[in-house]
Amino acid sequence: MTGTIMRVNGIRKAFGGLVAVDDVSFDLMPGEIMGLIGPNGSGKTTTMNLISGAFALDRGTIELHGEPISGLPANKVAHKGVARTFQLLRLIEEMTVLENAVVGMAFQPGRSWNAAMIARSREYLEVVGLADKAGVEVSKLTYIDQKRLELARALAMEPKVLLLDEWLAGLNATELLSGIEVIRKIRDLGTAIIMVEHVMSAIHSLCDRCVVMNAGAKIAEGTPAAVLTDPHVVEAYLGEPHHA
Amino acid sequence: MIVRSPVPYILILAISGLLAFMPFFASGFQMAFAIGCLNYAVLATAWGLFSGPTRYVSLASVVFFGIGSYTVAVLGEVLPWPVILLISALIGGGVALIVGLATLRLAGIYFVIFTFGLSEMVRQLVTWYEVNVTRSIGRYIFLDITQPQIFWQLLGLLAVVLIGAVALQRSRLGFALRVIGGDETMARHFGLNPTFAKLGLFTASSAIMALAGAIMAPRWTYIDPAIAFNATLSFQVVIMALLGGMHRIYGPLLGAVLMSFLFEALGSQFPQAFSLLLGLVFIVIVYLLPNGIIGRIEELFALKRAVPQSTREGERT
Repeated sequence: MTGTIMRVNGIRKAFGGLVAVDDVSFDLMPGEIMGLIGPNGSGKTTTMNLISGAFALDRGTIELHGEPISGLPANKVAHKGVARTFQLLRLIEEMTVLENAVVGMAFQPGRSWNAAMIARSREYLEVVGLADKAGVEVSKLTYIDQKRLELARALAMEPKVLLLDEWLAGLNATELLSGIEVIRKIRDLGTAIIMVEHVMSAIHSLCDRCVVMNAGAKIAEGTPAAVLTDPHVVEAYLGEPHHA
Repeated sequence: MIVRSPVPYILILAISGLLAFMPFFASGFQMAFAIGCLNYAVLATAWGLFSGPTRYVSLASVVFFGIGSYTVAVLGEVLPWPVILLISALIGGGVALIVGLATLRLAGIYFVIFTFGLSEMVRQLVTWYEVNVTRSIGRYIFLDITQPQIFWQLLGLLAVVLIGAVALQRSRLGFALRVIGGDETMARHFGLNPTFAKLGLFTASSAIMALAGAIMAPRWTYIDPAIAFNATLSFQVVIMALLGGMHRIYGPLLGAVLMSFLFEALGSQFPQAFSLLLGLVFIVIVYLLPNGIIGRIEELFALKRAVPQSTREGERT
């Protein structure tokens, strides 16, 4: 199909005898938010790690704008325009909020090391609502603010595709609402997003489409409403009916 | 984050400019002490250049220092002095490049052990070569280089290294090294190649150490592998950098100056117990000053300035 921004085709990854991701394929459209859901241990985070180049693939290909990015190391994948957040936050505690955001922009191709680049990184702190804390050291931030910063840093890469790994996990009800708003805002800025998420309300309100994984394999794909009522999906989450 | 102030450069040049007059009025003993001090300052600063941001503790300082000294011992009477300096830096950097390619993927503790093993290996290799090929374990260095000349060269080298360190800290590469030191895995995902950056810095730092070794060599008149590759030097350099604070450019320099005075005092007052006291000092530094003197001063200032932050720790889930 033309018009896809990213095409994941038959990717597989085994750790020893455990096949974590088994022949998974999906497409990502420009400006789309795609949910990657499934029970714990179904291979969602591994899939994210394969896309971002953290692990090498055993088989399959990943293309960005028709150009293969599978097989590239993580730093090259980042240069191609794939940004990610980490499930367990990976900020540099002894740096300031602004410095952490600059990490996202400073090492992208074609960026110069000057005040304009810093100012541009600061704009992404505004997007996530952290502009007034730019000079604060990260270790002094609250949990939600650290999550916002994790996102701002990924945005500062000005990526084509953004991978969010359970970015909404651990937020309280109010924080969740503002978190959902932030993600929507990013999509409106034109970034395609793949989000691994367990928070169903967020999946319903944000995702255009969902891919459901179980035990490493893709078991369903479609709109959130459709896949979440799919019997295979319900079974994967809750067990078979006669066992329940 | 982007700093362009020329003040640090001017200060470095002004202070080294003033120090350059020292040979005109200092005694022979004072000059000898100053040269030792400058040598430690160069080595510790070069060590901090790599180990400060990356947090890789190298115990291979003496390998590169010894390579510099041996380059002089072998080529001293054959080639002009500037060429010898250049060659020693190239050999030191070249060895660092090879060692770095093989080891900089190693995680912390393995790197420490490897670099320590490396200094022992190089010492044994040189010994083997001297015994089996040249059939003479020691070498004499008779070069027409005076004490003040050694002093000026070391002072110049220190100034260049400090200026380079300030420039590096302000550069994108300097920022990259802080990011890599903070979280290497994360750094990769933001477009950095940690191996490349670490390799470059390790090579530069090692070339500087080799230069220091070459400049110091004429003072010795006689060297053998046990002198040139004495592992104690590697440890001394680490202690100095830790004492001052390895996370700041001037930390190792401060540590080197203080330690030089301490070595002098211990060496003259308690020559028999020198190593024992040195070990005690090391323990005290690690226990009481984990971030060095500069780190402790910064903590004190931070406490003074601390204002209550509106943290919401309780809301962490």
